Amino acid sequence: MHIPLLIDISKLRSLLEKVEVDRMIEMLTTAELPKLQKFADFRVRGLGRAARGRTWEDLLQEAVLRTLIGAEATQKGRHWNKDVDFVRHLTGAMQSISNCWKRQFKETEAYLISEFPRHDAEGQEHSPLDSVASEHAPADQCLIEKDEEDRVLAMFKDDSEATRVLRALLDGLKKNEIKSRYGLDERKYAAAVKRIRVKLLSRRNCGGRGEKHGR
Amino acid sequence: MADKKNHDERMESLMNQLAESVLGLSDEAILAETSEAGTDPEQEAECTRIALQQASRTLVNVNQHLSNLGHTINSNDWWRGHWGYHNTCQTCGSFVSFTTKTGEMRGEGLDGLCPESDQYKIRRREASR
Repeated sequence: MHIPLLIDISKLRSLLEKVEVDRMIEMLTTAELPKLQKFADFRVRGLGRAARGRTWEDLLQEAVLRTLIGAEATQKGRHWNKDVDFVRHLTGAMQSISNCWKRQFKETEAYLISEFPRHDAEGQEHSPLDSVASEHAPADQCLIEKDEEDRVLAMFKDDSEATRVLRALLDGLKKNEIKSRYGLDERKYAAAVKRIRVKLLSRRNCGGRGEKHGR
Repeated sequence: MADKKNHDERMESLMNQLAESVLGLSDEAILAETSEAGTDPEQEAECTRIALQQASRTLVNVNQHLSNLGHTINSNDWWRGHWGYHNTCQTCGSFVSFTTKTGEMRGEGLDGLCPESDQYKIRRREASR
């Protein structure tokens, strides 16, 4: 007897896509996983206060979640184009998520200030913005940020090459600009960047896995 | 004082470029670096895989739970709040949210059957016989 089977093709497709994402997670290698972890870690550190206590795990999980939501939704989440390597897809997702967190942090900060009108003794409303001298941040916050930069630089005080590369990266210079400015060949540049990565990540490991990485 | 933005952006530039540099590393290099940083690569890999799987499992759990209760969730309506992801049942409007951090689910949508769903009406009819 022929029994017709009704299948919602779009639901089946999204289910298969989710199964495929789970399979890809299972198939990630011992080398690919730390790559994702380190990428997430540096991106969260780059957020500074905008990280709001989030860790590399939060960023990585958000990337997977958006991929899974993108598998079943047409307008939400992040669609994984199978022509793109899964690791590349996740790092791309993490990049845009962390950029979005940064943007939201800036918007929320501005929103909170404008949301608190104050009233004087006569009931006159004043915006806290009236007394703000400029768009610049408070001095204490400035010092915290400066301290962080100094502290990172201090970690490499005995490594002049790494310090030069570090300063250049802080200045926003790109690899080729740094290499030509300091006359570094590929090997020396890569070795200096590696020392920076290892030292910065070693510091985290001293605090255990549960440590928050926001600066 | 203009320095604040600079320090913030400088650290962001440094960290983002370090993140980017990780992607170009060979398998051998990333494993060696992980060990050099004082971590067992196998352990680190497993820890990362668990984090990824937890996110996937949480979404499956919440969808399964809501479906069992007869709620209808539109995947396009998930929105990200401070605590986690939020949505409402299309039929009864019950609220539901979850976080991947702990796998926790919240909301009245999880408390009981969707009163408006066909599934609930069938059960109600069966109970009245």
